[in-house]
Amino acid sequence: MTAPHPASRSTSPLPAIRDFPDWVPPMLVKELRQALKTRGFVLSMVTIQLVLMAVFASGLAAAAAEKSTAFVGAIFWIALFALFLVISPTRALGDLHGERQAKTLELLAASGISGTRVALGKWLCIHFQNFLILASLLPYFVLRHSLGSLDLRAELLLLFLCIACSSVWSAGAIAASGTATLTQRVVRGLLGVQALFLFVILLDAMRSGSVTSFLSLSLNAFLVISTAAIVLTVLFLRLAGDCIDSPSENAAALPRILLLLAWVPSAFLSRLHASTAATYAYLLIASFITLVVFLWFLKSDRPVQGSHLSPFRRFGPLARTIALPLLPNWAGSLWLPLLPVAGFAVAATRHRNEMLPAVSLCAASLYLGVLLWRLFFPRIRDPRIVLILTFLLGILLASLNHSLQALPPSVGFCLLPPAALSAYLKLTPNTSSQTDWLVASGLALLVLTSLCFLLAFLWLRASPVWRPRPRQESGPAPQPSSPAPLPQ
Amino acid sequence: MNSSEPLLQVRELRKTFDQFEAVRGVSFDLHAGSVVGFIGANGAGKTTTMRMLATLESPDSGSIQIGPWNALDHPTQVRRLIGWMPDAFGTYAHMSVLDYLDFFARVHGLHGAEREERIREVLDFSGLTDLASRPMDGLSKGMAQRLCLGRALLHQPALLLMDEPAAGLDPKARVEFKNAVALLKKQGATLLISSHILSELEEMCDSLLFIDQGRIVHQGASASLRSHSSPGAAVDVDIRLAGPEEALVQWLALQPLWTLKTRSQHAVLATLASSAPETLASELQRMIHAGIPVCGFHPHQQRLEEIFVQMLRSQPTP
Repeated sequence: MTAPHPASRSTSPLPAIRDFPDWVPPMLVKELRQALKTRGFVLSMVTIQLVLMAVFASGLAAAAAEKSTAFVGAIFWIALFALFLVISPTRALGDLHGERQAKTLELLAASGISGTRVALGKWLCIHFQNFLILASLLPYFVLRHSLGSLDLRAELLLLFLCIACSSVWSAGAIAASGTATLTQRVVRGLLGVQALFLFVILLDAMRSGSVTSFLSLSLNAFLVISTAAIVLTVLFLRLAGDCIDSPSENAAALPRILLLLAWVPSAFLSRLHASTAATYAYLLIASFITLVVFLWFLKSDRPVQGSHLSPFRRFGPLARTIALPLLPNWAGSLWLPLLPVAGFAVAATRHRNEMLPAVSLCAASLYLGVLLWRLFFPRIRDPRIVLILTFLLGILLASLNHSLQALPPSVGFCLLPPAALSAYLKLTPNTSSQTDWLVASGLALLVLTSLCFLLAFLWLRASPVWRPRPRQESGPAPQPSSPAPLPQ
Repeated sequence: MNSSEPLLQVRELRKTFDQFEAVRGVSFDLHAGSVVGFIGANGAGKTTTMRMLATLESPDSGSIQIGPWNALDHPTQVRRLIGWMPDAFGTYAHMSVLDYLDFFARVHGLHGAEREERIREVLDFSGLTDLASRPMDGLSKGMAQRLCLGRALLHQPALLLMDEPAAGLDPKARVEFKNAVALLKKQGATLLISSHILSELEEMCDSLLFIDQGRIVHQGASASLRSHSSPGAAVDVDIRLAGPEEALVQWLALQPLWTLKTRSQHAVLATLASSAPETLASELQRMIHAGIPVCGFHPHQQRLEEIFVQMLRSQPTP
């Protein structure tokens, strides 16, 4: 079918379309063809070259006058920071939003390309452009070496951190670009804060003469940061794909499995370390991933599709029940609050710090509270607002009672719900009444979780698609309903 | 799949948006090689049904079987079988017509020389070969629609779904589009074309599906709709005369079946109480016997749109 009409066959030669080999992902090909022609890319490339040329000219003049050339390195890195951490994510923030406004996403979805592949193509394109710019900056590395202001190990480490952060930020921005405008504004605001932070670093670096002085990463920290960056990037790209995929795709399974995989090593690594700070570092990374996944799927009201269950059908009713936590529905995310409880509890078996189980219970109870809102107040369309409000209320009450001071700094100052709620509850360890309270609240939490599971299970069972239905292939197809009789 | 089995089987499809039930138990079959028009007023449920067939929306209940695959359980396999042409689609900035087709050909897994050959065929088919290097955001609506059709044909789909494909096209582009559909029909393509303009589909399609308020109210060829539409209903007859109209007016006033509507010099428009061909023939004969110099006798054929509206009015309100 669809062979052209012989008369319409043109003899004019087609322009070459072999600019990219077949193995390059189609989405990357499309993005690169577009992006390399945009004004944004050309301007970034030209601006960064002009700025660095001016700075290096000043540096050479300073070297000739035997003055300090440290400012050259500082400005060089600030330019790279700005490119990787501010400009790239800001441009990524318009990716899916732009496609949605142009009504081009639907054709992509109908053509069979998965949402994750779309998001991955966009993410790869951003990094390809960054690496092109980075490659154009190699002569400046050589120049800095000749000026004697290059600490190769520290700077490679810094570059690694920069790329890792940029990966996560860009993936997060792509995911945010597919969501509501409010989320985009929040991410834009965070990028603005980051730009401000860079400005502060610049001022500090101009004074101290170096931006790499704060770097002292151990191998473990290096590995943890790499792993966290990879996990978060994959997670954000999958969530971005969720904005594109049709409801028949199960976008929830991978992030939830990733989350589970993030908690297992985090909990055990936190046990290995003697220092409380390291323990909290591992747990907080996993907590952050939990928060992202939890917030994302809390808003999901998608009905359970036959396609979601089809991989489990062949293993019978037990497999379908086991599949519950992986279904793309808020009810399927009920088990997530248990992860922080379990993770912090494992850490607490090594560190006899009563703050750890307390924080875990607080985290879980906060998440669970929002789930209860979701269950009993379905009119609240976006329960994330409840979570944020509870968090802010906790901070406010804790500030009024001066109880934030009672928390370890790593918990108290991280922007995570456990800090707010534990501050709110004014937890003070080493008292027997406190321990009793923890046991009581732990039991209450278990009861609540079980209740939620039960309700969610009933809710899912009531869904028409969840009920087993006869397969099309296994029985005779029902006849089409007869059309209404025509008027006489 | 058995060759006698329909290519597309839709059963009891339902979809609700919040409180609004957009599709209420739609069922129909589509056989390979047929061109079917999907007709309904704005908001009747056409686009929702088409989007469910294209796996872009999921039904609340019901089933869609395309070829050997259930669209709910195997959306990826189904997407390989269908070509989707929406009513409105966006263009990419900084991308030529050729780049656009090349991108979608890559998405559909076409490689190397096969991809180039297929793109060339599609460009030829849609008459865009000379515009291959032109930026796609500079195309006219008609050209963009042809490009969209070409994109949908890249992977040689078994079923082509077209949602309001001629909406917003100028007359020339409409004719070009009709020619393209005729060519596809000749080549044995299976097409489901939705529109709210009946006359547009009447010529192109083998059969028509009428949807109203989320339900299929009639299915069959346009001729069947005409033949079923109130065979005894009144009809306006345009009568031309070789002399003055006065004699005819006086004759009509005495006839119980006739009602005068308008009169002008040598012409009368009157309503006959029955549109049955036998009645029309006998009335003409009687006029001639009465000595009226009739030189033209043209009963107005009811337009399909009018028949459709009559049919909808007679449907019980759900």
